[in-house]
Amino acid sequence: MTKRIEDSDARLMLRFKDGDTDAFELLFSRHLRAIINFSFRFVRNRAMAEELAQEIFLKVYAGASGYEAQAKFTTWLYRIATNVCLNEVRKPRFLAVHEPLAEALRIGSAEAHGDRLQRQAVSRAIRQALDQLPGKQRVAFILNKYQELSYAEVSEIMGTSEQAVKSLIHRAKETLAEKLKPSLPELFNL
Amino acid sequence: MNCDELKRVLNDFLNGTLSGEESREARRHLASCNACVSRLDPADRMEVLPVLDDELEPSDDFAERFHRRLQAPRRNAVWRNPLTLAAAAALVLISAALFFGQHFRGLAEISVNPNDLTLAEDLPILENMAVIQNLELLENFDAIEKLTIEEGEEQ
Repeated sequence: MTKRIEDSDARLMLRFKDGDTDAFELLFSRHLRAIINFSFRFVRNRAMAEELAQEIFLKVYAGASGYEAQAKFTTWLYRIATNVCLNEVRKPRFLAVHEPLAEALRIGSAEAHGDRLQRQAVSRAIRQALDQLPGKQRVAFILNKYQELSYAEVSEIMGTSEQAVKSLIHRAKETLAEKLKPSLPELFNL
Repeated sequence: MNCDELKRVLNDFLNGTLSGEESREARRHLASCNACVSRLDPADRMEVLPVLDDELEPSDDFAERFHRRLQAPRRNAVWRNPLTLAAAAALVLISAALFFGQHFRGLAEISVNPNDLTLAEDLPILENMAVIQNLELLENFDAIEKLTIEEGEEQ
């Protein structure tokens, strides 16, 4: 089923390459939410995430003439998205000092008058833990766990082997577990 | 997905070989079942994070803003690129250096007579270009004197 959807994406992109702008609109609406959320995992700010998502779709639009359906459309799309997001987080304004994770969750719990606030606190703690991952581990973890791309796709996007991707994700999970160790009971209601 | 179903697919899930939809269901079950998640080691519990994390919905005007940007002139995007700006700045500096380099070299080659400087200071006063173009004649006092005599003789 997934394969058929992916082929359909590539066909749409080829149609757009031939001048069918409706095909681009379909691709845009199909991947919009996923790309905004992908960007959000890197910049933690809605306005900035939407700005990056716009940048990504502008590059897709501009890159249509050179598009070849040799790989899955999502591989091509997320390669662009990864480059845009990594370029953004390497800028000095994103290299700010991080609030300690335990602090983030403790404040969240104190404020948590309801599920929504507790969920926000958990989300904030997760994002801070993700922010502290080394770049490659972070990209591999987000692409595989959040965007649900296979190891093969992640390896193609990152230009590395599947084994290297597995290793990056394994290390990312261990690092995250270590960072979130004090918060595990709150995270999982254990 | 229930606890028994999860047990059957757990290894595939943790090895990353489960399909997208099944993987999503396993993750959702783990996020809602303390019994199952407590059997995982701490690193594997991190599989659940995407379910616990916030998801954004696109703003209502996202598509509209995107289409406005698509229709905007591309030159704005070009000038927002720091590399383009740096290249343009470098080009301006090189052009300026070449221009002023030649200009000052030209000036250095001229030997300056103090009398010329006095004349140059008065140049703005001589708004009539014909006068400026014939300055050499004004310096030829013998010719001027002769012209005056000739005029007197004609009268």
